[in-house]
Amino acid sequence: MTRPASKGAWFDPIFEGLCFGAATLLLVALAGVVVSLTIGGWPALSHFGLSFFTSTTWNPVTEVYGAAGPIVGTLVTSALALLIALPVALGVSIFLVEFCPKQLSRPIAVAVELLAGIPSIVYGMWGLFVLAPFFAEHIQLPLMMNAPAGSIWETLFYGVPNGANIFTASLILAIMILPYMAAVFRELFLTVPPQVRESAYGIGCTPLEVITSVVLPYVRGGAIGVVMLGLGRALGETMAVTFIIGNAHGLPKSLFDSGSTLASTIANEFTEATGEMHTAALTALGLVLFVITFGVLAIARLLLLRQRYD
Amino acid sequence: MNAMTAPESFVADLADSQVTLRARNLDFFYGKHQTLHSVNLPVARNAVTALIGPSGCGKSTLLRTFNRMYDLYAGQKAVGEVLLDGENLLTMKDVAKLRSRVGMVFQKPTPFPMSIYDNVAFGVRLYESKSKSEMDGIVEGALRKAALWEEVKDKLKASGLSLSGGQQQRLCVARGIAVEPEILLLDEPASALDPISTAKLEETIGELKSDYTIVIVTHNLSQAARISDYTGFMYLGKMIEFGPTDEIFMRPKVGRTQDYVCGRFG
Repeated sequence: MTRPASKGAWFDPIFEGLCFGAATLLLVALAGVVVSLTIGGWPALSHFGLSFFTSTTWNPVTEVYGAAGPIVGTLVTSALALLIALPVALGVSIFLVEFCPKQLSRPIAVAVELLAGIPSIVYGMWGLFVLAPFFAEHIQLPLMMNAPAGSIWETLFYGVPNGANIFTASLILAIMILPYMAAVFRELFLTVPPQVRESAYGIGCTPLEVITSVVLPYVRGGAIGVVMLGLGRALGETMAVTFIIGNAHGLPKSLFDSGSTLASTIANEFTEATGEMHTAALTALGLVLFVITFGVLAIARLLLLRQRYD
Repeated sequence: MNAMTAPESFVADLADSQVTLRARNLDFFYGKHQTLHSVNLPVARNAVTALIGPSGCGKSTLLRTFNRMYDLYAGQKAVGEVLLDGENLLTMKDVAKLRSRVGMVFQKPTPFPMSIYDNVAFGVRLYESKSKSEMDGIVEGALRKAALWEEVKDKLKASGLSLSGGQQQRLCVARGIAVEPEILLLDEPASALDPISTAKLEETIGELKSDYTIVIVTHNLSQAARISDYTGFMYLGKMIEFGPTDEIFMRPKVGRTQDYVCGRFG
């Protein structure tokens, strides 16, 4: 006796087709974004050539566009944000996994995830109305006043003391990516098999030794991936940074100088971009941002893959 | 059988001079749930003591109290005494030091994500700074004792994770003995291994007992009979019978022990 075909069998090819369609749609959308960004930005890129990336002049009136300022601003704020957020995120996640009493661990983990969900505009407003004035008055001014004349500190701390600068933007970015990174780090640390941790404790390791010698090496590849994803978020963050970076074109001259990022420049100017070249230049900024972010994510993927094959 | 010939439990006592570790009236709790009930067990020096019993009988729990591994988890606690050379280890302050005296090898091989050499040297480095040549000697000695040296001597720089399961487990044994513990706890060390690796590991255990005291938890009765000098049979969190291995397997005093070693339940 032969069994009849499963009752759902007729639907299978359709189901497969639908899934294939969904996947294809995504790829088409991605390709569409790249193509339209390239076409849109091409007039600026071809007109200014290499100087689009090296020139610091961004002048919509004379229609001269060089993106070095926003590019550097983007890279510097993101790198600084990472530098600040990484140790804290590691601390939070290690505390949650290794030291935190069980009853507290859940609530803190949930709080961290809630923090990750706060809209960026809220962070931006808080940054502009609370952090910036406080920072200007209590940190920036004293540092500027007390920096020895002619020293490297004077150069580093120079800037209009309004609290809207590269550093405060990095700080806001750090606060924004912190909960996200802490949450993913926590997940990552939980993937270390309990037996591996126990056997490290079993030969007499202290908690610090277990973490630095066993847990961190165990998740190394994944941890680099988390860092890259955090970086990716920082690179593309728009609203909060636009609020607090000061929005000055050109290369930032110090840590406390105002600047701009690729995303903040686009957000600030898109509604006013009337000239064809201005629009093209902004679209080209979008393309540059896309390439940088894509590169960072690709590196993260590669590192995660490599860990899998180790 | 009447009460005279079949007691409820029987724990043979050993002379203090022979004993290095002694559990006395040990209770254990997972939260409110009690999993060990007034367990007594003497562990003889330079001998292999096997703990047998059906799953969930508490033998692994007992083993994990001997190096306070349960400390890592909130809500687990041991009450009673576990004397290590006369000192109650349940109240010791320096748990890391205790664990360097009472080492442990787990059911699944757990090599650290580092080279074979570093896996063995790792524990030693925690306590002492050794010269390169001294450390080489310690690593080689530990790997030889664990019967792994011949197989890995040409690839000490390779990752510990690149070894086979059996080799990884012997690497973990080498790592455990490199810090020169007094006691080595083995929690079903062969349960994930193939028969050949198991035989090698058993041989290793036999050779190690001249230097160390070994407590092994095993599901495999013939393994316990083969390699141990003393055996404790546990059931439902109680130590039902303890004595020389021959006695437990050939002339058990408790009916339940007899049933278990004859394969009538479990």
